[in-house]
Amino acid sequence: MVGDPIVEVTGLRKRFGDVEAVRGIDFRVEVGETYGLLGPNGAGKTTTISIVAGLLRRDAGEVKVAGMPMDIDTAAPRALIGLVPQELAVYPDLTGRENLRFFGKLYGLSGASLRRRVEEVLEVIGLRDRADDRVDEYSGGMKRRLNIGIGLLHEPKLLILDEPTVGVDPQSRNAILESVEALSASGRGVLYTTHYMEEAERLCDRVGIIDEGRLVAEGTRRELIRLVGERDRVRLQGSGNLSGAADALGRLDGVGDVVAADRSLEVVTVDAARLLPELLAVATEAGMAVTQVEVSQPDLESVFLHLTGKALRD
Amino acid sequence: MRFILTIAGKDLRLRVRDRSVFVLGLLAPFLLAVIFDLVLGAPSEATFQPRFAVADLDTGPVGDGLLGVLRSLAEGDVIELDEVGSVDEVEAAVEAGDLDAAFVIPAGFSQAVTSGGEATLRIVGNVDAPISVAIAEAVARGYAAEVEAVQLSVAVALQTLPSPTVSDVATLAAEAATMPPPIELVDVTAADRVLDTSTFFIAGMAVFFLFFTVSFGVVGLLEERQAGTLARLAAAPIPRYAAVAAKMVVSYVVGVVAMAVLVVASTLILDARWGDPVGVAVLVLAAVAAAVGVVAVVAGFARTAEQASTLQAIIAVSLGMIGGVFFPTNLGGGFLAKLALASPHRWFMNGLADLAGGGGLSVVWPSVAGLLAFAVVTTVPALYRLRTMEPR
Ligand SMILES: Nc1ncnc2c1ncn2[C@@H]1O[C@H](COP(=O)(O)OP(=O)(O)O)[C@@H](O)[C@H]1O
Ligand SMILES: [Mg+2]
Repeated sequence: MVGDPIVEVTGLRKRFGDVEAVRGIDFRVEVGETYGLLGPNGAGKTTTISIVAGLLRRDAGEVKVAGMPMDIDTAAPRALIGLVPQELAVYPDLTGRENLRFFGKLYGLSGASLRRRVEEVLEVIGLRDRADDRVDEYSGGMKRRLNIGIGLLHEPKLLILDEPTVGVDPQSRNAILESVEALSASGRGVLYTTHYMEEAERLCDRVGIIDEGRLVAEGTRRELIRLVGERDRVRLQGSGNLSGAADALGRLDGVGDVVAADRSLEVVTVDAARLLPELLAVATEAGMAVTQVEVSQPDLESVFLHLTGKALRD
Repeated sequence: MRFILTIAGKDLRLRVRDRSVFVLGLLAPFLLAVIFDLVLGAPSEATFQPRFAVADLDTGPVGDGLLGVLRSLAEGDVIELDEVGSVDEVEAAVEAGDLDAAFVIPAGFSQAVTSGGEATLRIVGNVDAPISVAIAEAVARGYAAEVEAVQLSVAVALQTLPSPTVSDVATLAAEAATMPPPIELVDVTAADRVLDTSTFFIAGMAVFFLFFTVSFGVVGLLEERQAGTLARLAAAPIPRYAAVAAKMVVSYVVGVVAMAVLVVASTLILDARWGDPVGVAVLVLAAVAAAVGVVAVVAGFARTAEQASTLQAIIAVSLGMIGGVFFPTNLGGGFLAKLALASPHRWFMNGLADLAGGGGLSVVWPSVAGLLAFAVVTTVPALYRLRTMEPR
């Protein structure tokens, strides 16, 4: 159906026993869009995309993929989805090529088209030379790349990537991010979860910020930053009377929220450059010994901090 | 169906690469059966006949009694008996392996017994024929016990006689000694143990290990869940039951292949006699179905692969024990026999026992029906549980 979003989620809820993992989530991913779910560990990202991919039952809400309702028993929309699970979902006792061939067959590929796609994917993920080695001989980064490659085999309309860079070295991570960029450029929808702010900023057209099972904000990077007031952040590190300093700073004109962490204060302000001397003076006067100052332009990390009062990563 | 075969093909490839299925499925049952057979079994069952000799240096009434017992056993074809003149001769024959055991009735044996003195009956045994020697010993001990009883009665009799004479004592002793054979020899080919021991051990071990062999397939589902690959199978555009069905197919195929190899190998190498091939085949197919059902239902209620394997091992050992696959015991008709029917192992062994009595399909169908009942009762809930298993 023309104009249908590739994913449409409304009022999604899921509980595991006492844990309410997803508490009412709505979002949509348009055709050709890369949508990021950004949130800390345990926020409910994997649970959400598992329901979207038809792996888990939901307790409430609706999920549509390409306009078709998705449930654990529905087959039709599955062929449109390429899933890259968070865990390495590959068979270590098979070779890379055997893994690709096996999953390709499950997606209905066979014969010459299967062979062609396997070769193409091996090329994309850079595993051609090692295709006939057993996966348990691969490095962590190679396994990750194979994990992604399996999701690409059948050229899905929607690619779901669940934290695909977790546990890889910086070089492999960059290679992975580049290939995701290439994939989204090719016009398919991408649903990407991460707890790395930089990845969401770099890859995603729109980002949904998820925390404790809820979407706390959603939009383009610019929209999200505007949401928190397009303000700068000043991070004061030090010791002494941090809570006293926080109170004093909070009373200043031009200062928004002040969030105290273990050994630092996070000060949100309209203009860091102009206010910095005053901030330092007030903090020192209130009994804080400032040892380091960090000024930063707003980013999604600060948006998250603003919205949830905590850091993305602890 | 195509997807079931695709997944099953992948699993079989993995199983072949992982050698443990060969160890548990083929090597372990075969080796254990050979060992049991060597330790507990008889050298050659159907014609099993201890070769005994007796050297009677006594030629008195008590020695004659033992001789009579042995002769009656030989007449009944239970043993082979040579009567020889000298100790040297028996010892040489046993040493050479021509005899399994020999009884030496020493000179003055009757005299010693009747006068209440010390009398020793010697047995010369061949170390390579432990079962036969044990039988010889049992015969001798049984007879010795009998002689003691006679001695008692002799003593009593003597007291009631006014003037006892040596000839009275001899008469009494002779009378006692011509009593019926004092012990009953267990005949290993008796009707209550229809399977010969070699076949029993390999069949028992085969069905016992079958419950481990088939567990590889269905436990694979839990392994895949833990490894994360089940998420991929569940996300693929294939029927939801395909993965479970594939695992059960793998279990079934591996189980049937292992059993077939064991039947053929034991027939060729161990001279096992399984019985009518069609009957055995149908019995094996039904037994594997029951085994797959049992392990599948356990997997369905376990949370992890380790938990499932542990539970399955406990259940396999328990069913094996109550099913009596470890020792060729006669369960009789009591509680144990009824309990044994709660074990698919017993139905399998019963089916083989029926086959050993001759006949084919017509005699095994009750056992086959019993095994299939186990299969249905376990497979249905297993399928229900496993099909709805969430992939994480
Ligand atoms: N199968 C499960 N059983 C019980 N609790 C679960 C299960 N899966 C996830 N959870 C819980 O649900 C919450 C959300 O988990 P998850 O969706 O994996 O978060 P994320 O992917 O954002 O790290 C967590 O508290 C997690 O412990
Ligand atoms: Mg997750």
